[in-house]
Amino acid sequence: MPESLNPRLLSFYLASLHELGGALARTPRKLDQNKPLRESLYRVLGTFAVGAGMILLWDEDEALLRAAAAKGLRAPAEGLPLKPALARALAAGRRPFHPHLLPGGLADAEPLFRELIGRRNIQLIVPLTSGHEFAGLLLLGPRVNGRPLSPLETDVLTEMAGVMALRITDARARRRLDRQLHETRRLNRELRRIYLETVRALASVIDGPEQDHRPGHSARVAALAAQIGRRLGLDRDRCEALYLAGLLHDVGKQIIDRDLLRKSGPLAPGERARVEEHAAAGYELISHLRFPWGDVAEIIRHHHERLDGTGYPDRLRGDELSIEARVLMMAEAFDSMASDQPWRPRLTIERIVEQIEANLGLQFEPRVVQALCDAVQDGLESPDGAAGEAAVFGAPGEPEFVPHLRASFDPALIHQMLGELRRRLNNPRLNRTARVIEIVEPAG
Amino acid sequence: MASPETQLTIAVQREADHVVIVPTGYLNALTGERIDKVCDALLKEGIKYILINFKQVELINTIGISILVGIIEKVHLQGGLVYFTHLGGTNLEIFEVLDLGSVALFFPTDDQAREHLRHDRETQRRALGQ
Repeated sequence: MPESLNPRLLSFYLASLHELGGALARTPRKLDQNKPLRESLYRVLGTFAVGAGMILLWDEDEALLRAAAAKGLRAPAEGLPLKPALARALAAGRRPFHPHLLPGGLADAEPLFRELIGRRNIQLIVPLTSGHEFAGLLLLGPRVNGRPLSPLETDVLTEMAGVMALRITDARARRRLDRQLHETRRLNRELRRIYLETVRALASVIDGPEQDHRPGHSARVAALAAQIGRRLGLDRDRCEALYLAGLLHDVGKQIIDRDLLRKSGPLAPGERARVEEHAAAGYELISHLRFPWGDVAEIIRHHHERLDGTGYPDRLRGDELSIEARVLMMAEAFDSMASDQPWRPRLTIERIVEQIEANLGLQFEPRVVQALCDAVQDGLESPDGAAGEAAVFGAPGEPEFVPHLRASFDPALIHQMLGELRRRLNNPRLNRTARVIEIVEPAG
Repeated sequence: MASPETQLTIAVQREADHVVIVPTGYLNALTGERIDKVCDALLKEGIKYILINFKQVELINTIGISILVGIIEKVHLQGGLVYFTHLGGTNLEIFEVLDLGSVALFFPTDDQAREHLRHDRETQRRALGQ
């Protein structure tokens, strides 16, 4: 019976081909790595009862063939140089051939390649080619029964090598894409870092002696707002938006007269109205910029709104205020109370806690106050841990508000006072107050 | 943790002039190379006749066959012989299709393989006039 009609043999070869394809499909990104290639090599060797073989992968940049899998053969670890012309000639074919049919002749090949082929009793060279991409070579020693491959077996071997080549080139393409994606993400992070650095520099001008003269205020508000946002479960983009809004929240003060900003006494109603214009002015200045982190301009516009609707510029109430605006308002108010102002020295920590408590549900939302307590206490307790978080949003090192608080107050007293505030936040009476106050829509 | 399909244990029984290797499990993954290493160690000790009992082997696939072919080649280089016993069903069909019977000996049982080995050794001794 002619071999090509032996149903058992046909069935075996089809099963082998199927097994190889299935095994390679299960590890799509690793096919130029060693274990899947070794398994593939063993499957081919087993299919044709060959004892020794090797898979060499083509490194186009180095013009080298590198052994990726071997059985019963060894290749130099440093790789086998191959003339690019020979690589191109090998890429043009898919059929297995005896080494003496090597394009250009074995004698013309590089010495290490010639030695491997000549001294190791290689019987067949199979190009691993997919389309016009040369992936490498499959080398096979003699069959254990000494017989040459039949035409049918040569066809099966060609198909098996084709499947391997397709999967190898596919894996390489996937890995190239992964690397490009990784690089794009890295560049994106770097771009964001540069962006934030630039805005930080701008913020230092906003707070500088030519303007508000509250050095470091914007950077501290930014860091505190981002940390509060994290503790409220906001995602990274929203926390970065908070950080950016914190840096730029007072940018609208550029249009306000410097003397007015520095006035040490009480403001007349007209003066107050003029100062309050900075929130809407900041929005106007920023709103044409397309930030990649959400609507920073809106957060800036509403950082002086209040839950009870008595804030400015739009007199928003309760749920009309975004969570970001509530957080930025909290961070801004906290830093303002904790810092010297042209019109008053900083408040004591006891007074700050009193103010927060007095305005719970009116200006400050209880869960945001809770997150503020957590952010401040965590920052003071574990500056190293907080530093990692701060680095995500701002300058390396501990969050900017921490050194300021440590220098301005007794950290133990801050802990004590915030701890008491936290306990009072869990007081049912306060919760009831918060619930009542959060229903802000007037009847009718 | 290895899946059941890749688990393989190997027992080795040393006898006067040969060894019997009894694998248990699946000879279908690179874990099967352990049998190759066992044979390498035996060949270094000078053992030339290796009998592999497949009674407790569930499945041999092309990976397993490549490992067995490598063992056959190495034993031949030492002037020895490989005996396969208790091959049945699909495994026997594959071995026959691949013409492994021309390079290794198949017997239904270990005793029949031993009888052939004893006879073969006797013939060799006579040929050498011992």
